[in-house]
Formats: sequence, structure tokens, C-alpha cells
Amino acid sequence: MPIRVENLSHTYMPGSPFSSTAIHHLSLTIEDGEFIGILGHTGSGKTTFVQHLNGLLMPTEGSVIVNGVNIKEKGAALRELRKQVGLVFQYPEYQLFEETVAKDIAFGPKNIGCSKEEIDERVRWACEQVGLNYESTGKVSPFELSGGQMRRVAIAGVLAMRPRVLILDEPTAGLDPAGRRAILGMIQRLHRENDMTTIMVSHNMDDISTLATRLIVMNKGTLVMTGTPREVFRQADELKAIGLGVPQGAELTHRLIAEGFDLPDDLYTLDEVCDALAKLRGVSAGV
Amino acid sequence: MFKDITLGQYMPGNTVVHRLDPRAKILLTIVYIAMVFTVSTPVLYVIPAVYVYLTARLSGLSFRQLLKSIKPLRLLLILTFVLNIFFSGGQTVLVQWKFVTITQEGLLLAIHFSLRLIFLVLGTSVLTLTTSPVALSDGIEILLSPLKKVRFPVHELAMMMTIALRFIPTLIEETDKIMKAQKARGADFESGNLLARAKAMTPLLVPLFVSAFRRAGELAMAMEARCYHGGEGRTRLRVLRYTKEDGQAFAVSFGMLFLLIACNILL
Repeated sequence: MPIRVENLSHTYMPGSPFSSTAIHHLSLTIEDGEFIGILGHTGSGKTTFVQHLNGLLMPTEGSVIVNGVNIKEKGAALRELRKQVGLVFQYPEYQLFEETVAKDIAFGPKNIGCSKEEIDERVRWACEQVGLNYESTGKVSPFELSGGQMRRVAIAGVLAMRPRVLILDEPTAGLDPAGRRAILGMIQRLHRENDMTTIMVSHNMDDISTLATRLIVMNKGTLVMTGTPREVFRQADELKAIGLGVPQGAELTHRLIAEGFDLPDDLYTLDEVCDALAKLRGVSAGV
Repeated sequence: MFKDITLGQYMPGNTVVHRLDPRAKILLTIVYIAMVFTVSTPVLYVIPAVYVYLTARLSGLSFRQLLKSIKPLRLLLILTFVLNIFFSGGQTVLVQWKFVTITQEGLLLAIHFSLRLIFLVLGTSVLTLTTSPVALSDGIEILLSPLKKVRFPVHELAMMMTIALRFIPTLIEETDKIMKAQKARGADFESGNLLARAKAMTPLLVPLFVSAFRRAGELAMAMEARCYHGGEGRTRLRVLRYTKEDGQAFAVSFGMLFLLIACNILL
């Protein structure tokens, strides 16, 4: 289910004194099975962009073509699109509303017209995917859970739609380190086991550098860089110029090179830097 | 869905009318209302008309923006017109058809009251179009402050108004976001009959209420953390001061009011 974005522009409240353009002429293609990381400063248009991918926002200009269907076309089946492209919003726990966790997760499958048995099966599956115990947690009110648990319920609610593309907008915002690791591990497993195209919006470089196969860097509504994490993080100065950082590993590499160490300039994980340093000293890695 | 909602109807700008002290603007609006009510025959609506035209020109408002403010009043206007034309009696019969009688007096009265309504709304919307809601509630607070003597909670009232106004855009944004999130899960807010639509609101309203209460609690906490304890001894960041422009505006407005009274007596 490839997604093609051509010359996309989006303007909020066009024609009023409050009109503002969030995206300027963006073009890119997302292939099946990719894990895309979208990076950008606050207000760079990341959230606006991903809301186009399942037709929540319509392009002011240009087109978004998901699986060969232009979302702007009249009669484009938006519900079908939303079934296939699941979007987990920022702070998704604020969208929970049902009396029990299981009922809340069942909201999506119910809307797309699944049978009772299928809904039940999907809810169980989604619970398992996000690491919730269906038997014990399923009957609890979602408002009694902790923040991290609520977020899992909300993500399960989107997963229960069985999307082929999963988009997550800042999935770790506001979580403690343990909660963050758990959610990231979960996302990685989902991507690997279900062969889902995954798109994750984040401004945490360290989160995204270990997960994504390709990065998209946005600034002021335009696409400024795209490539593998290695290609992108190599351009530390450009990233810093638009107010973004680089992962700790890349930062360390740059400083060490500046200090005269003979390291390759495209390292970005701390493990890689360790290995490279060990190699320099002629010691085998991991000791 | 929420694209066209702006806070109140305020159109930001930097014209003489925008710059006037909000207290002055409220008082001027009262003068204007007095003017509209003193008009004794429809012809004299020329004076408020000139007044509205001038202020609108000075504040850079377009004719269309002003007309928009009358639009919600359509029904009331028609009702006023119809009731007055048919049921006000009078001797000079213009049309007589079965039980329907239209008299000259009735027609005049209908025009008179309709114009009165139109001009009331036009003038007051110049106020809301050119004054930010926060400035407006500031102005109201100061103008009402004499009521403190009779233990009327003026400050609390103004604070509540300000907070309520402040949270309108936030709640709209929140509604929009929750709506999108539920749509992403296949929710449908737009089709079905009335009952189905009302039911479809649950996934929107529950999270909205939860977040409104959460926000209210957080705001109260934040205000207390900054030692908010009501209006007693509170100073302002922006102290309102009357300027020369306010004086001129008062002079012109009262001038026109007196002109109108004179015309009323002469005609």
C-alpha cells in the first residue's frame, strides 16, 4: 500500500485574517514495509502532514494518493481509508470514553461493521499486541488506569482496526523512561511481526534513530532532508540550523572527530561509537 | 467543521476605533443605544446610520462584515415587521383583504421597529468587532466596580468571563482533535438520523468533559500557586487610560445625540 504525496500544500482557514499555511509543496513516496521517522521542530507541519494520510485533512493544493486512490476524489471511501491507515494521535489517552477498556478498544471495529465474534477476537488480539491482559484489564474503566496504560489502550483501539499503515504522532510524549521504552519496544515489535508500514512523528532523536529505516526532516512546512538515519544524522550542522539535535552517538562522534580521533563520520548509535573506539585501540568489541 | 469559528467576532486591527479605551467604547455604545431609542420617526435613522457608517469606515470594517452580524437576526426581524404591520391598528387603511388590514400607521411602525433593531445590532457589533473580548471584560469590570459597594462580586464575574472566553478556542481545538481521533477510528458524526447523531456524540462529549474538568483543575491549581486570592489589592499589567482620542469620540457622539434630540423636537 504505497503512499504518494505530490506537491501537497495545506492552508488553515484560507481567506480569513487568521489564514496560515502549514505545508508548502511537499512531495514524497512511502513504500510498503518502511519504518519512517518524521522529524521536525514544533510547528514544522508534521502533525498536519500525517493527518492527510488518512483523509482527516484534505489538501488545499496537490494530492495524496494512498494505494492508487486520490483521497480528494469525490466518493473516495474515507472509512475504508481510515481502516487501512491507522492514526494514533498525540496524547491519545484523551480520546478514551467507554465504560471499560474492552469496549473502548471495540469502538473502531464496531464502526467498520465487524461481527460480534470478530470484534471480540480483534479486541483480544489488540490487547495482546500492546501487552495488556484482556482478562484482568478488559473490564476495568480506562479512567482508572495509569497514563502509560491508558496510552496502550488508546493504541490498541487503533490497532483493532487492523490497519496496514500505522501512524503514531509523538507516541512517547509525556511518558517516563520506562513507559517510553515499553511503548517503543511495542512499536518495533508491531512493525516487525505484522509487516506494517509504520510512520512515527517525533522530536526525540534517540528514539527515532534506533527504530526508523528512513527519516524525513521537515522545517516550516517543507521537506528539508530524507534518507536513512545514517545519511541524515551525518548532516549534524544542517539539523542544528533548523533547531533539531542529533542522537547522542552522532554528537559524540562529531566531538571526538573534532578532537582528532580517526572515526567514520556517520556513526549515530552509542554502541557503534563504542565499537569504533575499541577498534581504534585494537581491542575486540563488546569487552 | 470548526474552520470558520473565530473567537467572538473580533477582527484585530490598529485603527482609531480599535485603540479607543474599552471603557469609553462601552459608554459610547450606550450613548449610541440612547441615540437609536430617541429616534422618533424613521427618517431620523439617518443620524445613527451616519454614525455607524463613520465608525465602520474609521475602523476599517467592511459592509459585508457588518451585514453578517444581522444575519442571525433574520427571523426576529421578519417577526417584528409582520407583527407590527398587522396588529398595530390605526385609521388610514392602505390594504383591506378579508381579515387582513394594513394601515399606514402600522406600516410606519413596522419600519420603525425593524430599523431600530437593525441599528441596535449594527452599532453594538462595531463594538464587538473592534474590541478584543479580554479588553471588553476588563472594561466591564472597571465600569461595574462601583457595584462592589453593595457586595456584588465584580472582579470574580469579570475573571470568570475572561477565563470562559479564554477557553473557548482551547475547547474548540480540543473538540476538533478528539473528533479527528474518533474519526480515525471510523466514527461517523455526519450521517444518520437525529437519534443516531446524538448517540454518535458520546465518544466526543465524554473525553471533552473529562479534559475540561482536568483543565479547570489545573488552572485553579496554577492560579493558587501564583497566590491568586481574588480582586482585593490586585494591580493590572495594562492600566487603562483615557486619551485625547477618547475625548474626541465622546464629543462627536454626544454632539450627534444632541443633534438628534434637536431634530426630534423640530420635526
